[in-house]
Amino acid sequence: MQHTQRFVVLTLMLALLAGCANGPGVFAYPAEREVAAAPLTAKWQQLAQNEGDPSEDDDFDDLFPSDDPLAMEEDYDPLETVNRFTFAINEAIDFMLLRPAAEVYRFLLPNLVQDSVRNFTRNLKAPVIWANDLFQGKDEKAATMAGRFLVNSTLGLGGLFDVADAWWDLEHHSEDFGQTMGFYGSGPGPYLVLPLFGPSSVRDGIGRGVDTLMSPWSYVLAAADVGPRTEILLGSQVGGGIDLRARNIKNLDELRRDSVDFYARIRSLYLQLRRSQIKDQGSGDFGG
Amino acid sequence: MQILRSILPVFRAAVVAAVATLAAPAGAQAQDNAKDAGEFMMSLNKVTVDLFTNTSLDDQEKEKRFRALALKSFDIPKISKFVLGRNWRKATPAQRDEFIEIFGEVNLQRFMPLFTEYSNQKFEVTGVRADQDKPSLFFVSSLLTRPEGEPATVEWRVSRKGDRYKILDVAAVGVSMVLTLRKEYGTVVKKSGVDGLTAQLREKIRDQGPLATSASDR
Repeated sequence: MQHTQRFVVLTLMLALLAGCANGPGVFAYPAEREVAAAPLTAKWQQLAQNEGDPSEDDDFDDLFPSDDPLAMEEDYDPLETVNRFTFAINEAIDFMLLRPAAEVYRFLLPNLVQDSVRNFTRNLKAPVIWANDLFQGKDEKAATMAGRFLVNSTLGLGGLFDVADAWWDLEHHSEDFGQTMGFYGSGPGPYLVLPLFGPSSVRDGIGRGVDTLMSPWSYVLAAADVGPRTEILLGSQVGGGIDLRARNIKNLDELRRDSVDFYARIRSLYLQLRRSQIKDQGSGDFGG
Repeated sequence: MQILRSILPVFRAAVVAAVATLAAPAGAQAQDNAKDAGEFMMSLNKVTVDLFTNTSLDDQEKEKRFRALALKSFDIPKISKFVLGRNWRKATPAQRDEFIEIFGEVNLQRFMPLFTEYSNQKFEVTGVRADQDKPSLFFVSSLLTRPEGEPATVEWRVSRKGDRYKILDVAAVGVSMVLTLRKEYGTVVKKSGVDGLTAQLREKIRDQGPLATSASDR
């Protein structure tokens, strides 16, 4: 069977390559034998009529059970008017400042330097991520993060190089206090758009505050009596932000391109992404 | 009593054996189907890559063929219904048809560039599993390795009807395409109705111009 199919595929590929296919398309692939029969001028709705009413037997019921809050018709966003306003301002800032900066950054700096910017900002976050790993009882992840921080701060020259990943397979992961609260059962609450920081929720906004207080760097800099410590911390945050934006220029452009309500699209993306992060499913690194 | 005690294990063994024989073909069948769902995605990828790297076809012809392929491989009517949610029930048959038509085009524009890029990406099926409640539903995990950037895990939801497979949803990092579209379109319908949504989508498609050229720009 396998061999016959392979032979058929091969023959049809040759026919295709020979360019002798003016009429209906000549496709073949094992799992779907009738693609070749699809009329090239077919319309989506004609297909719908052939297939019968899509209302019958609903596969989506299994994909998204009806008790799933994210699968319901609307996302919980009681502050939508204010949020849309903040979103518009963020969009304007992005258009005028952040995106151009990211373009220049991507164009001017070699990849190695860009990676170092990301590694450095990630390393600064390591203590907070480690603490949140511990809060959630994820000992293994905490150990990985501690190892990363120790190795990268020393051998990685203050976090500029991610040698922990390269040499010992200690991979980066994200974790924050919003996720910790989610881990213990807190829902996101109302959706929020924060100025500059973008999509968030009441839970994740509070989490952001807790993480900032937990982050040791302002205390370390104060203790070491370093002069412009606000500037240093702000600078590294801005650098990390530009780096993240630069890595997502194409993704965001694509997201925006075919959207009819970009705000609602981002809102849904954010809420879904956060949920999968809390369940430790995705490897998404939204917000750095 | 003695007899019962000696018969019981035999009887138990017989039941176990019977169950095993009954279950085995069913289990194997389900596994075969799951394997086929993975094979469907791999061959879909192969056919598309072959199509878009075929230098003897012009862009228009490629688009035509991709359209035929997409018609058969994406369950656009079903996705349309899900994406419109409760508004589907309120919509007239004409509105539904119009939405399906325009939504199919939106997806064509969205996926064609994506598949075009597959030509320089490595596409691997890393796992297939059948849905627990619904044996005709499969989750196909795939790994996209791009020349630059980190590899991405993309999950396809595929349904089986007869011996045919159709894509219902694409998800990455826990974000589902159909769920996101449902939310987004929901807000537009709330403001300007199904007709308003269809009109806006139509405008989007027109703005992006003919498909073939927008794909070759990339």
